[in-house]
Amino acid sequence: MRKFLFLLFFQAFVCGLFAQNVDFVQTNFPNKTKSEFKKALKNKKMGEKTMKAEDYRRAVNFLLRANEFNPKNAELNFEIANCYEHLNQIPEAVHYAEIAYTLDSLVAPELVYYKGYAHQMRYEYDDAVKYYKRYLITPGITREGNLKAQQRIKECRNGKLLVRRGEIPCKIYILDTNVNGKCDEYGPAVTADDSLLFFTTRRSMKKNPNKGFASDGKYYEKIFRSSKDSSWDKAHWALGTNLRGHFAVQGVSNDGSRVLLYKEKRGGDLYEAKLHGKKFGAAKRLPRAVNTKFHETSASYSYDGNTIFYCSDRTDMGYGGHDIYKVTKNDKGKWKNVTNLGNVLNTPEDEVTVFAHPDGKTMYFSSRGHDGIGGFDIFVSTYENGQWSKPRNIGVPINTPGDDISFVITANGKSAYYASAQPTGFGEEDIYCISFKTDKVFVSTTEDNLLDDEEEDPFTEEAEVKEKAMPAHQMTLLTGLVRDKLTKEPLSASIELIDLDSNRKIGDFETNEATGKFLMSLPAGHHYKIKVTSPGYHSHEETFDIPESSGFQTKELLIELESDGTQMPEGLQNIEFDFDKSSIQGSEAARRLDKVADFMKRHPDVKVLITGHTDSKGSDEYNMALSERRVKTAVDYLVEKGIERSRMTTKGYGERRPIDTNETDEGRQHNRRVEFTIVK
Amino acid sequence: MKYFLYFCKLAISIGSIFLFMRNVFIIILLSVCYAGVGRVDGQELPEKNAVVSLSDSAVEALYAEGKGLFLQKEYARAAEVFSKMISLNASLATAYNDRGSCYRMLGAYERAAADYSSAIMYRPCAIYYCNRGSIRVKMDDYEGAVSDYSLAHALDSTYYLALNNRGIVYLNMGAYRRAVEDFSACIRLNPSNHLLYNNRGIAYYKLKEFEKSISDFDTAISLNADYGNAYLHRGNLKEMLDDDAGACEDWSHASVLGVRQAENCLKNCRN
Repeated sequence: MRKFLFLLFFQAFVCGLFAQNVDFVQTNFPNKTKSEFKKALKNKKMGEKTMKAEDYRRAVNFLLRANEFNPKNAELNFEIANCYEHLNQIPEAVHYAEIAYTLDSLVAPELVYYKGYAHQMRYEYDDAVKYYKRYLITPGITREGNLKAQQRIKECRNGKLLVRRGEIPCKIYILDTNVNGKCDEYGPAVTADDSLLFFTTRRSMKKNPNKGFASDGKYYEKIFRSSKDSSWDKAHWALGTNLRGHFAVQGVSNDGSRVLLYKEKRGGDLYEAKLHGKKFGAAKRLPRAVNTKFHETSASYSYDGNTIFYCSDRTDMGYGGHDIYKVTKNDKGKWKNVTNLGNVLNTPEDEVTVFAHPDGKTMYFSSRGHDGIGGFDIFVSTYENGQWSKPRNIGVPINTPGDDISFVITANGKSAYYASAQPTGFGEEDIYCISFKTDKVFVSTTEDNLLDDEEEDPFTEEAEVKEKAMPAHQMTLLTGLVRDKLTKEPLSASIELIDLDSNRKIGDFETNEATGKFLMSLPAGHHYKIKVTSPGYHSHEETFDIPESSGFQTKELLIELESDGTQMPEGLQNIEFDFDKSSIQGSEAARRLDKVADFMKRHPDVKVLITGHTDSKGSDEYNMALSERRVKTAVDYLVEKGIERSRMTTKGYGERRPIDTNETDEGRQHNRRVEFTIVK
Repeated sequence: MKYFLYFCKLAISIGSIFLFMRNVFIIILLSVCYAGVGRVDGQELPEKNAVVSLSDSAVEALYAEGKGLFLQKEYARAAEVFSKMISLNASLATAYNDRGSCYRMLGAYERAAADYSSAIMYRPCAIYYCNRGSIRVKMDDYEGAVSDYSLAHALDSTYYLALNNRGIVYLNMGAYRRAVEDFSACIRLNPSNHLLYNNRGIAYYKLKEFEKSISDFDTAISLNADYGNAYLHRGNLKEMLDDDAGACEDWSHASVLGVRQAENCLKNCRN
């Protein structure tokens, strides 16, 4: 009985100790001035007023100021939590709700729900379920609240199952300040070889096409890119210095030559921009088959570049909310034929942020409608035998009780990127990298006294906690360089990829104009042929057999094309001269002329027109004479190298045919030249 | 609307009073259980002193025989002997517990659980709850296991095995912070047990508190340099921290000490 009384007293004492709600009454703040109290009260009232007007961003600012004055008011803490929930800042919402609960658990019935959510966020699923169940029997609970709590209970059950299935061994780290800044960074898109990262940022820039702020009070969206050697270098404008309004990156082709963009126009539309050399061209809106009056967003190219997977909330073909669609190219290379990917992937809830892996059969996306553990979770599905498999939750710790979206993974499956707003970040949303590790096992040891005898040594038994790595993607990442065999200059070439098993052309790819490099992904289990062509060169063909069991591998190709004698090879179209000079001794021009001679010897039927040019400095007559002297120098050099003079015709143009501006040193340097052209 | 809110508040107040009263009731019930008299699994318990005794010499002889067979790993024969004991005294908690352990070793988990429940019914004590908790883990009933370990701990706060085993269940449930709390409490009770540091090291690893984790694995190794699992785990941790050479060294050490799981890890080193 004494024990019982003690317990009763203890419980009463504990209740008294923690019930510390401090009302907004001036007598409760003897150390504060009257004006301070009035100001805090005014902030609270303003916060409540703006909250009613659903301006939660402003409301929370007022309420936080009031909270600085009196952090121990349950109602105020609950109001702050409420605002944060509407702003989708769930960790903050839970934090303030827990404070409110501690101060006075009866101030609002929703606090029990929040208490459950706090446990859910900490992966304490059993405790979370207890609070949700308590919330469900709260008198006066709304239908919306009821559904929300039921959904949370389901999430907790899924969470328990996922934890038992084992975590994914990985290390998550934030990208440094070369990528992240104080403002939002989100929507990462990475090339298949993990060498180029595109992302959207809301940072301030000096050179900004958009004046002022967007409607949410932040700077307009712009697209940045960073490239990686050993680490990500300082990010800079990727494209869009001339783009007005919001432009956000949604997806990038495997080789980084094309990007998909989102613009908040006509309800939200998708655009595409192509890389020409080192610069992206203008963004073009995808056709109306894709862009409806509804919200089109989040897009990803297929491995062959012939399909775009994207999300839309269009109502004519959907299953509810945002669904995943695909659009394919027709024979003329136009984007046509939009299809909903079906109800195995799509649910009545939202499916967003789709990512098609370069292996050609795996898709990652976020959904609220499948078996998740809270908010949006990332799911994976594979396309086999003509259908998508049932989406599988990729598990913890990648998925969390909050929203998990914008997940992109590299071709080798070793790294993935996503954006998240964490208190430990650089500010607002930041881009994080997940580095996947190998399978792991942890062995813990349980101990029991099996027989009723504590004197015996305990019986020990080992229990394993396993961490299972992400499945390897079976594909080959083919990277290569196409260049001229003679000059070693990179070539702009077209590459046709053919599946020899079905004798079907998979797609057309192009090398980068400036670098001659290409990258393509080849799903395992096929026999491939590539055909490389470039105007003025003999074509080149190569075959590859990539068995199903090959796993992930990389293959590098160096393709050297030989001129067919119809055009001067890349790099031999001209030679340049110093100002007012016609001599070439020991210069780069001489080395090129050696190669021109070499080329003409290999192609004895080729005849060449050699034309001389100058910049605009000096008189016309002087420049005409100078251009002719330059031509003569080139011809004499080639004759000396054994080329018959009869194979060359010459002409001096003076300053009449510039190929660049004469306003800059660099432009004038380009204009001081001798050109070689093959004549029939 | 205002009156409705008042009504809600009133209802919640009444509800909380009810909950408070329920808690008080539970506390009373636990206090009564602690005193050794009460209801377990719906049956009235006989008086404690009446059932514990092994005074009958025939029963004592059987107990010695059964225990001997168990230690020789003759579990089926040991179970038969404990059954004979039960036939002589149907309320002998020890016999139920020990027969349950035989069934457990034979893989008959349902029967083991039933015997442990009988043992608890006749004499609720920490060992029996602990044993039933272990069986519940094997039957994937983690909540049941946590409940049994908690009761074991409530009955005997010095019985560190209950806390250690509950910590491992929490580890498997993903409640890593709670696992750390349990292992820490165990370590306070038994600071020289290397297994406990190893277990807590795993929980810290899961919480991404890598410094604490490595410190625990180091301590486990310093307490028992032949304990291979701690090397395995320290290797796992080093790989996570991008110290691949250190990881391979630790996995190699674990492999030499006979930890088979280290073999798979070493394949990564060879690649």
